[in-house]
Amino acid sequence: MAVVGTSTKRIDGIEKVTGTAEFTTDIVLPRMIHAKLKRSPYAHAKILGIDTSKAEQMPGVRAVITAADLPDVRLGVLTLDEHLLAHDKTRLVGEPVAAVAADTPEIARAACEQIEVQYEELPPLFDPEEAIRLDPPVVLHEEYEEYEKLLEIADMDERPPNLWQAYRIRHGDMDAAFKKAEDEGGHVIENRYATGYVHTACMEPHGAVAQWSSDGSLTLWAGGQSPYIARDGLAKALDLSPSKVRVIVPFVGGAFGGKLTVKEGAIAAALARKARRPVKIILTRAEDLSATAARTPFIFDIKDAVTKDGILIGRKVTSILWGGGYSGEGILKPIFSTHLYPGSYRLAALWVDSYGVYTNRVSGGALRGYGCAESAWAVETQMDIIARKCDIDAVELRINNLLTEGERTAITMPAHAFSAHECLTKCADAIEWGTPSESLESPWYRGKGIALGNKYSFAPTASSTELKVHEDASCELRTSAVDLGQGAYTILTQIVADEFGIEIDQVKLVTPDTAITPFDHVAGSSRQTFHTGNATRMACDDAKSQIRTLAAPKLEADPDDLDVSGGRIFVKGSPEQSIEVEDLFVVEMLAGKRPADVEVIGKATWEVTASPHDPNTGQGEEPMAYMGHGAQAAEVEVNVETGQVRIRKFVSAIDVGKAMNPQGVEMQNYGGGCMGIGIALHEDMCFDANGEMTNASLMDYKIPSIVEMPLNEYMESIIVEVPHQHGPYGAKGAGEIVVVPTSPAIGNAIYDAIGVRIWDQPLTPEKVLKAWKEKKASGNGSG
Amino acid sequence: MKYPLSLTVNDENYDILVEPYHTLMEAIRDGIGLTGTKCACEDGRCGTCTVMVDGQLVKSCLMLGLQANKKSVLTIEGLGAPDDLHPLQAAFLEHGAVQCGYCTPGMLLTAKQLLDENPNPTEEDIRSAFVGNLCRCGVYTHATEAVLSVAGEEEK
Repeated sequence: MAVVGTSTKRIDGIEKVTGTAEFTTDIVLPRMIHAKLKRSPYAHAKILGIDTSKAEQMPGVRAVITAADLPDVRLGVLTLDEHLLAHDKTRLVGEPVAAVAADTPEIARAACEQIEVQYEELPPLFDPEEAIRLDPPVVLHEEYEEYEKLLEIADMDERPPNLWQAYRIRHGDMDAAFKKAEDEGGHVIENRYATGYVHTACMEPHGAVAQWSSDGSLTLWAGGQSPYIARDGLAKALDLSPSKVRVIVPFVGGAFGGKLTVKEGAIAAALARKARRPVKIILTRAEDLSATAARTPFIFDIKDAVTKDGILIGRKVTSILWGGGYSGEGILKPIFSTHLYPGSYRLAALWVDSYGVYTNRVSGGALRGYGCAESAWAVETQMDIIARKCDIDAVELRINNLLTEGERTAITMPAHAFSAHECLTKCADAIEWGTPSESLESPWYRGKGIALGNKYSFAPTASSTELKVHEDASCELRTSAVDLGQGAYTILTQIVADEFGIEIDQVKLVTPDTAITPFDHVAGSSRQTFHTGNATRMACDDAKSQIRTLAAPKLEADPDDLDVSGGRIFVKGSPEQSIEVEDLFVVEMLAGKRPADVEVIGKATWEVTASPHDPNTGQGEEPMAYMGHGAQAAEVEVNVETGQVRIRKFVSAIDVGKAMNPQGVEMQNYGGGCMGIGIALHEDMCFDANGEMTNASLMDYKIPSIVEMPLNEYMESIIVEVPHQHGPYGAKGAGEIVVVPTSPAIGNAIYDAIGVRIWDQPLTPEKVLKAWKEKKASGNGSG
Repeated sequence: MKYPLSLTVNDENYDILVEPYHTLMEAIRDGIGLTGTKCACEDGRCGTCTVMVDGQLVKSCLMLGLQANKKSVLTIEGLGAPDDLHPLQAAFLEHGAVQCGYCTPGMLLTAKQLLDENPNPTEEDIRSAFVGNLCRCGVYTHATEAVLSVAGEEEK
């Protein structure tokens, strides 16, 4: 009867394969009109004036708004630095400065062109190393000191004026580590790495539909990652009480971190209020790619102290996150990226200085792996370099440096359910590590690479759920967890079916709607299986407890001696003494039976607390909810005449504690690997000298197609199950760890094939070819 | 000014009015109200809007609505019904080839066209067929498995 742990088919699958699943883009309301945004053509400019009169007079135009029509509030995740519509300045190309709602999208677009904005161009700032100077050429946010900030940053003698995040780790004696490495025949290995500009590029573009009721309350349909974050953001942006805002999440066509907030939705809502009509906004692909938050680049300077036997004894890192015009959802990345510096390894000394700066480009947002996927690129390439320098096998070197269960990492995270060793060795076996790749005909070379990774899941956080038991013993789970494609609805349904001993189709899941479903923090940070899963189990327990209490008099037994399963309530040990769940619901209202006796709704909140680490030392209590592990390996084929890299074989081994739905884990392993391959090899947002994205289409911004994937026989998914003490059934999340080791595994494989390192992602044919030619010219490798 | 468009979609006749610049995708979604056909890239790259027109695969964002006058269109809604799935729809579910589901309608119609032309495709044939369908969730491996499973069934 166990449902948890089986590959139950996704419960939202029928709708998705028949085209009946309703996404935000599909919603149509009576009298609904369409919104378009007027965007800044300049990366940095003062707004001197906006004239909307021509646009307002166009037939079919129902409302035009600028910042003047909105409450003067700054928004943001933790540093509130951004207006919904540009106020006095624009800080990136594509920043919305005005918006139009009209009868058709075409009229709205034409009206935007009739809005006249008078700008005074300011010099743009694009280089993060210029931006971080104490005397930068330009300051983006002159009023930064006045902004509301909800997070303390590290102390600095003087804050560089474009800096919005500073975080330090001070663990152990750094100087002693370098001295020991130098004095005792070890190595000091120092390199600079960089990641590229990557976009979530969800197949469903950002959008929303807004409708006001006559009582002044707002309903917004938006395919976002958190209805409650959206609700609170809308309330703040529009100066409403959160209770006046209802957010409904329809089917979501992918999110990957890109749909945490609903800025477009708030603009649509403001237009809808003015027009007194429902308003729909759907971004074009070009807008979606160029003007919604991206995974912006990091620069990592990393210096490792290693003994001659390949034991890591110290690591010093300076990193800069190349933020954009606003801090946005990237605000915590300079902190969360540091989790990978110790990662799964023992480090006696770790010093980190991590910064985030403003530049006049697209704002930094979240993308699957949130900082960890970026820092893994630096760390796991370093591990490969160290292994070669010490002449130790790269898997063995990693194993020699691993923590053991119960130790604390250099950032004070307890190594619990520590599966790095198992992930690594299973992955190595699958790629036949130790057996050199076959030699190919010129100009092709083959090589193998491996990398380890972690993904921490953030805390503090909470999930609440409600579980209603119906007369027919079916169960209804009310949750604000969101299925973005990762399978959350199916897993939560499996949990309810398991807890009540009923069939999957006897469970109904009520999808996110803040008017109905209780608080859940967010579909992010690989957290829903863990946190919402726990809350769901607890709500089931609560409902079952209520049922036992109701059944006890009927069975003449103590509630504690009863059990509920398969639609029956029975006395433990004597299953023949039982009643049906439906027997509880015989309403004899006229006989004086109160309705309260017949409403069974279990409720639960699961909460994980954590206190922020000291931003000056990176030390404190347990900083995160849990630590996930995974390893990936790739075998690549490199063409040294063209620089082309093909992935021949790909292995992903991740620890999920307990595979709630093994096929779902396999889907994450393959799907995450697919995205990781794109990020490693070819995804690259390009910008011109004015800061405008030049490849804002799916034709030119190249996400992986089937061509980039290995043949099916060369794709391998490995599930490791080391149960977590607090996970439901021992489970941990799977959604992000699957992209963390991908890039370094591929980069290390390229080195194995042709002996060159490329330090900055993506590893394009141009870069591979250039590195190969340089190697040939110098007569040796560059790594 | 809108022009009359007369077409058959999933064996039902429709007479609607469309702007001359409206694509077939817009005619199907906005004119007829069948929203299973999705829009994601607007330039023909991603394949989410794939439909069949007179038996041929068409990216409906690249065809004007009026070009489909008097033609017969098959959309995802016509491939199968929730209580009567086409074997490909069932196979996509069975093999885990569906994640967020936004690209799924286009991939299914692409797969149908492939099997119509080549009932027993190899993995390479399937990869060639899916070249024009992007999926950000990365279901490619599972979608290939799903199509292969249906192809095998024809043989049995």
